Amino acid sequence: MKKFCLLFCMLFLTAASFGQNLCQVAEQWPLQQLETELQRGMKVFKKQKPAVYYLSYTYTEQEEKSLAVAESGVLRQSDQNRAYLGVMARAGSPRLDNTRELKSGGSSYYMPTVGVPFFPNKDGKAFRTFVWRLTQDAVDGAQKGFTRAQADSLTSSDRSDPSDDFVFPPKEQYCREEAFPPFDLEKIKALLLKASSLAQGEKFILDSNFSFSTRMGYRYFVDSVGSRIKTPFVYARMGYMVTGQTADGSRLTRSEYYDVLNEKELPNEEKFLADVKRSIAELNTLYTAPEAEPMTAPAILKNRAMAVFVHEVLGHRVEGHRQKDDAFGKTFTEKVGKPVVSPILSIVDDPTLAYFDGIPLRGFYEYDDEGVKSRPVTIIENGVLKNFLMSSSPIEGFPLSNGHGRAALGSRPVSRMGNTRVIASETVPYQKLEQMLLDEIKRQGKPYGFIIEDLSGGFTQTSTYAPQAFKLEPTMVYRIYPDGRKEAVRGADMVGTPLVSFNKVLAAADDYAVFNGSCGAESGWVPVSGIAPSVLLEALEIEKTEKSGDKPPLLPPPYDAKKGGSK
Amino acid sequence: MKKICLFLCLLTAAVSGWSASVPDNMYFHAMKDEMKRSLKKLRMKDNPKPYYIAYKLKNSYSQVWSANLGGEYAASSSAPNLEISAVLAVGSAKEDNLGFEGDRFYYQPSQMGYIPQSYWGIRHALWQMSNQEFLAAVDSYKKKQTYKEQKQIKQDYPDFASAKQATFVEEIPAFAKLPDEPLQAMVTRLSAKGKGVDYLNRFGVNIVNEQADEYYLNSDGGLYQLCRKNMYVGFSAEFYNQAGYLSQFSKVYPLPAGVVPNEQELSQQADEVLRELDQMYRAKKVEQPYLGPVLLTPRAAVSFLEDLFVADMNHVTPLLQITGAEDPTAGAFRNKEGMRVMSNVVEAYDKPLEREYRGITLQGFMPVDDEGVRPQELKLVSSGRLLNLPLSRRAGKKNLPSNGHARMGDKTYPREALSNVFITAKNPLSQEELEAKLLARCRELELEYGYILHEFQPGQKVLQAERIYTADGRREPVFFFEPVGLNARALRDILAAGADDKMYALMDVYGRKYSLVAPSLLVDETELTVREQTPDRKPLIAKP
Repeated sequence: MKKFCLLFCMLFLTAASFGQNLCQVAEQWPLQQLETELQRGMKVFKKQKPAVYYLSYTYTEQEEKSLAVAESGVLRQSDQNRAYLGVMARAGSPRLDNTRELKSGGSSYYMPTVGVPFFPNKDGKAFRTFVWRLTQDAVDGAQKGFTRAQADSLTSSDRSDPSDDFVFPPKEQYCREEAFPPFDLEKIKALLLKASSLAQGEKFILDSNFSFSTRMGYRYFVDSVGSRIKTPFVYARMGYMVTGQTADGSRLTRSEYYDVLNEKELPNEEKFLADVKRSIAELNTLYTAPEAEPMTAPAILKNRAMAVFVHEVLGHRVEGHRQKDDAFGKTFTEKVGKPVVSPILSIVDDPTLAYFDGIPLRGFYEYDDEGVKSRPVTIIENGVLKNFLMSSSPIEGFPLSNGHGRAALGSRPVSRMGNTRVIASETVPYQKLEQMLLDEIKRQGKPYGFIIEDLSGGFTQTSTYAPQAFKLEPTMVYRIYPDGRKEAVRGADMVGTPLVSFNKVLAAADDYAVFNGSCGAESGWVPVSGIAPSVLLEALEIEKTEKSGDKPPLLPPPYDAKKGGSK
Repeated sequence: MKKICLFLCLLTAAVSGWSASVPDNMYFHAMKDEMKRSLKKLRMKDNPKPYYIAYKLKNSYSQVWSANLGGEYAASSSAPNLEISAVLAVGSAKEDNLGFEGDRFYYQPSQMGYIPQSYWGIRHALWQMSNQEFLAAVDSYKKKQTYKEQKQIKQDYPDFASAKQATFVEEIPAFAKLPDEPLQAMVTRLSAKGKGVDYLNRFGVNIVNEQADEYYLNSDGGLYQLCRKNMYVGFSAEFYNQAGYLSQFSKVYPLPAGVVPNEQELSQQADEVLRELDQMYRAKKVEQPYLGPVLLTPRAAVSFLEDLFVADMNHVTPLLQITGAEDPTAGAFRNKEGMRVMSNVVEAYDKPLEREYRGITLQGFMPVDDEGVRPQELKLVSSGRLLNLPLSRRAGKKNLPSNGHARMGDKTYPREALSNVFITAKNPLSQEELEAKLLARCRELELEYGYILHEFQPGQKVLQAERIYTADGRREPVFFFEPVGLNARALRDILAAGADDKMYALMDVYGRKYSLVAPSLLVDETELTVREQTPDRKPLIAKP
């Protein structure tokens, strides 16, 4: 236990580290304007039939830069400053409002959002005209949505969870500013161009892409409860992808992405180029690798693959709003207080973490998209389900938000993950884990086991209509034979069901690592992170992946003439 | 042996006929090298090989400054977007895969955007695209052969006629970026004019500066390299009119390309737009349908001609359809040469070699068409009779030589299409004369009033109109009706045309840009019906 505490003290840098740049809410011009329009509107809206009982504004100012290169040339480069306004209106009452999941179908997660101009001259009247106009649409949509929800509630079967549609978030006042880090785009471009030339001249590479992007700015939030919030955000990502295709249609991909908060955190040239070379070599290995055969065998899920596995297979199933929607499978709804995964695992979703072991986490945020302060939530403790991730849509036994209401621009927030970390109570060095895998292969009498090195993503079925199963797409898989020999295989998908799969975790390594990515769900794409150690699974089911029906190009890439080319 | 030698010489000439004259830049080097490789090596056993390839590259640059109600959208900048499209034909010129719509949902070429700006990046994209086009061409060729056999179609004309190939190469200047600060300030000031108008929810202004560099090469030796510059100002607005209907407005004015526009002139245009908006705001709802003459001002006349004339002049050679049905995309005038298709008060021309009209870029300029042929200026209609149609190297049964009007778009392989269309009055009348003629015609028909349409969408709705009374010439803005039953017959109902020609930049549904220059037109017998729609919900609270 001592070791466990020490580990976390050393590795995590929380939001408290950013606390020194606090500002005054009352001095923020956008917050003032939004508040003025909100108060003016609510006086009228709350008297309407149906009444609009809650209103919030999210105003985002951001600068986006992106750069993509391939084949030693720039293919895309842009630099845009944009401001967006989103309006969330709730009509009816917290008991029943326009956000109710309709049993008759056709629920909408759209939140009225428009691009708005900047007003450097602080022309409040003009700015508020945009706010007023969009509010009109939002209120109109909310009232129509409420009427639909009301009709649906009269004609549909009883809900298994009769909880309200909304719980008012607490009133918050918070303002923080940040000096946004500069990035030397020309230097980064030169590095990407250099890296892109490494992918040329290889017959097994069909396409390649090397990219860098940043998105940084401020998010302002105002609601009718009285919350006034300004928070900064910074996302910067550099990475690459190389793809290929075998003659029989297997699609092959190797990629690497580096998420940073400033330029110093980017990999240096030597490391970046070495990683690119490694990925190209791996793609070549896959190109000539045998195709995987359907098989159930013991396996190691390497740390980052495990992070994706937990996100897809477990994380989405503990999102609160799914527990009250009868269209969802509710794998874990009735399992609070009961063991659901191997007892060696605990899982916490902690959006307050900005870094893990020096690596920035994309799932960091201070307030969620409903104005609720973020906090760590223990989902599973020693294998036992403790909590769900909650937005402001309450469920039985969980009446309040725990700061996980998230959405992309243009979508209504629902409960989502932030930084999902897996903690193992007992760990071994990775080499020991591999030895344990070999022992398990022999014990089970299997011809080989698997090491899942990398996962690109996948999907999980949570609807009652479909089997409650998952299918994940590993991009780098090795067979490991009882004598320790490893062999790359291609075309393998991981399949299974959540309750069975998580109970088969036998051991974990001490090699925690971060997977940074973007998660797509009802409320759009949001940045997330997963932190996990490598784990040993007693059994993992592998099946063949879908292949492309397209023929690979008849001619080799044009580089055979590279040396003699005219330019 | 002699025969073999001769054959080889001809082949070499066909493959490398342009090698001496190809411009010395990475775009042409990449196209030439990949074209050679594809013609020589793209093969599938027991299948026809490629005999013709054309590549087109377009490098687009743009700058945009926009503002709304005095608030500014930050000026955006981006690197040029390099797009590629390709045409590949297999078999032989006598019988190939094109001119046939099989089960590939559209008759359109492969395209790719955001191609790396490097020789190898372009080669890589052309490699993938040629492969894709080749596989599709082989598939289409086989289906076409089978179709022709089943339908017992015999042809004594080539699918793709030979034609003298032309070249046009002009220097491509670097994109002349205009300064952000003054232009951003200009659009901000212009859009701030909308703040003084109580009923406007939005009043947006944007200025766009564009440059598109085009590089075309085909395996018959045709090529062009040209630079298109374009600039325009757009106005947009939204408001609830007096009758409670939410109305949207947008209007674009072309500007001289590549120079900072004169703010005073733009300010006058903004004022003119605000006056139009005021008319639209005050417009009365029409309650009665109408059948009678209408005066179309140039903007409305262009919409009228775009739909009823230009679309019917294009696509002279119908595509064979795998379904056996008639080609729905073929122009209705394709078999009407010598027939009366239009009133004799106007004449129509197509002028692909003209580049500017009163200092403004014409969109349809093409020194070489997309089959490598130098275009001819065409007198399309004179004394009401159809004299000439646009023709390509795929003339079909007509077997006429191309007049250089094969145009490729995002959604079509090269087909016959107009470029810069000029509709001119034989006896141009002033605005006053046209209005007097409208009133006289209304009186003749014993109508209480007639209509002047400023903007409409055929088959959709009238966006801006005025009612003009026969008794006293009084005018009042009206809204809420739509034209019905308009067809090519209406072209013969043009009673008079004005001297107020204006140029509009347009794009057809196949993605081909063109220009249409037209004056006001007085059209007899136009039916307008009242639209059925209740007013929009009024805002719950007043505008700030």
